[in-house]
Amino acid sequence: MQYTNAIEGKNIVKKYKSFTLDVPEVKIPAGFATALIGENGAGKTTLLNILAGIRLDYKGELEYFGEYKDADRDNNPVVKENMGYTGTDNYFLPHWTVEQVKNLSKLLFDNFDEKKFMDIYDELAISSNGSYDGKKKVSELSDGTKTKLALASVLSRDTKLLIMDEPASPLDPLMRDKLCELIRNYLSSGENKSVFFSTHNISDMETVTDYAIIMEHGKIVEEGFVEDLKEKYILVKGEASDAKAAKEVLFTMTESKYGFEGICLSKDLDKLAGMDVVTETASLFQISVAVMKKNSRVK
Amino acid sequence: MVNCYKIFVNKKIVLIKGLLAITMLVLPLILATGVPMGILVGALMVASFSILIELIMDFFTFGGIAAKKEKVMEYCRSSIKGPRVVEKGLTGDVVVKFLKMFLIVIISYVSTTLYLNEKITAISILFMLSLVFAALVLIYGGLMITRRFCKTFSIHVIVIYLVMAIGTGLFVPLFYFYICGALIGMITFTLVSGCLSGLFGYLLVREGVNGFKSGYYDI
Repeated sequence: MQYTNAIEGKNIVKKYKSFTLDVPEVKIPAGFATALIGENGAGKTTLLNILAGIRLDYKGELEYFGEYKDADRDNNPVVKENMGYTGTDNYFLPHWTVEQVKNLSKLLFDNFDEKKFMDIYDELAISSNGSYDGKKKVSELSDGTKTKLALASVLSRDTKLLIMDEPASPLDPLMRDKLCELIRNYLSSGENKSVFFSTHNISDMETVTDYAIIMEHGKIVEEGFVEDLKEKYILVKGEASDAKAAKEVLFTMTESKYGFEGICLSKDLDKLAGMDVVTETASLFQISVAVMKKNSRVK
Repeated sequence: MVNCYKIFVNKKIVLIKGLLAITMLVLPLILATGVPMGILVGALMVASFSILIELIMDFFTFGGIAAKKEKVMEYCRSSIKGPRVVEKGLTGDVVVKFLKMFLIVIISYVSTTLYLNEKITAISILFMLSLVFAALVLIYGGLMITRRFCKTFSIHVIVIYLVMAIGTGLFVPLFYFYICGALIGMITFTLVSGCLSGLFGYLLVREGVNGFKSGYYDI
């Protein structure tokens, strides 16, 4: 598949006292939705913050939209004007009102469209009473509504790339579905528009995920287009009598007295010959959990 | 600058501060008739109350910054204009504080002078200017400390006590120069406090901007 990269990073290193983010190479394909998956503390937020340019204490090289370097991001308005970033807890000041967030957006971004903001405000039902409530403080909004407000702020701009940290987590199932719709609409609204988001809600976000990056302990342990990953990892189910033998072959496995279920690398599928097993296409959730299990320190 | 400033302030708090300022202006009129040198004492009281109000209310008006949230304003950091917007907002705050203090002291002075049919003299004008500048030094200096170190309101209040105590020490020589008619001393005080208020205002803005920029690094 031919594609360019919205962001390309090399040798990204960020050291904390007890944790090191060490990513020799990261590529966010342009024109697709990329999910960043990993355990708590895997380094997802750190990586997102570095790529979004809101964290500068790292080593490494970054290239945006195939032409701009890190220094351009911090000096040339084009890069950040074309990127929308939504964070989690520390995104807005708690005492800001919705009106102040709107006015701040106008000051911060030349491409902020106030009318679009109001449309998205209505579309996402940010106000509980259906009408615009500009006096409402951020601190008075629920976590889900804060996320909706952040989404309204970034989606009302004409950008090429959205970077979102855990956008689905505070949202209810209906809003998660809406989020997927918003991402789909964003991707189809222009050529090479890209979305990069971290998530723990893999199942909910799978329908919109084209490319997945799985992180563990500050490193990328797996990545690829979802369709390719589904060819690489196969879901295998079998009888309990074959569990012991299958365990030697399977990538990860869970067993019960009725049988076993696990993820097998497609290249190892031949090794299951002779066993009474059925194979199915694994979901991104099952693949992600398998990869995380394989690399996790959780017993 | 005005738009940036408006982003960071709480309108309710601004309104409360405005109402308090207007209420305070009655004070010199009451003092003017009953206290010797009532005009000056009144102006001094107004300045002192203004310092107190500015320092207390800052915890709520710039609450996010007082609570060290300037380091984590990720939305601002996601824009290349973020540091500039924060700087303009903080500069706006410094300018508004200056204008407010200047207007309050001058209005109180002029109104009580007219009320008592007194003359506006050169030394009393210098006294008022010195009062404005000294009050600004205390406000800007106090805010540098509170915004940097005071996460909780109780610690914020302790710092305000200290600032007010220093203020008392500052106002004593001011009165002394006025009573003695020491024009040179008064001019020197005005110039020094004027320069210091400008410097402290600049440092207060830098303090806020540096706090914001430090959010790009380990927090």
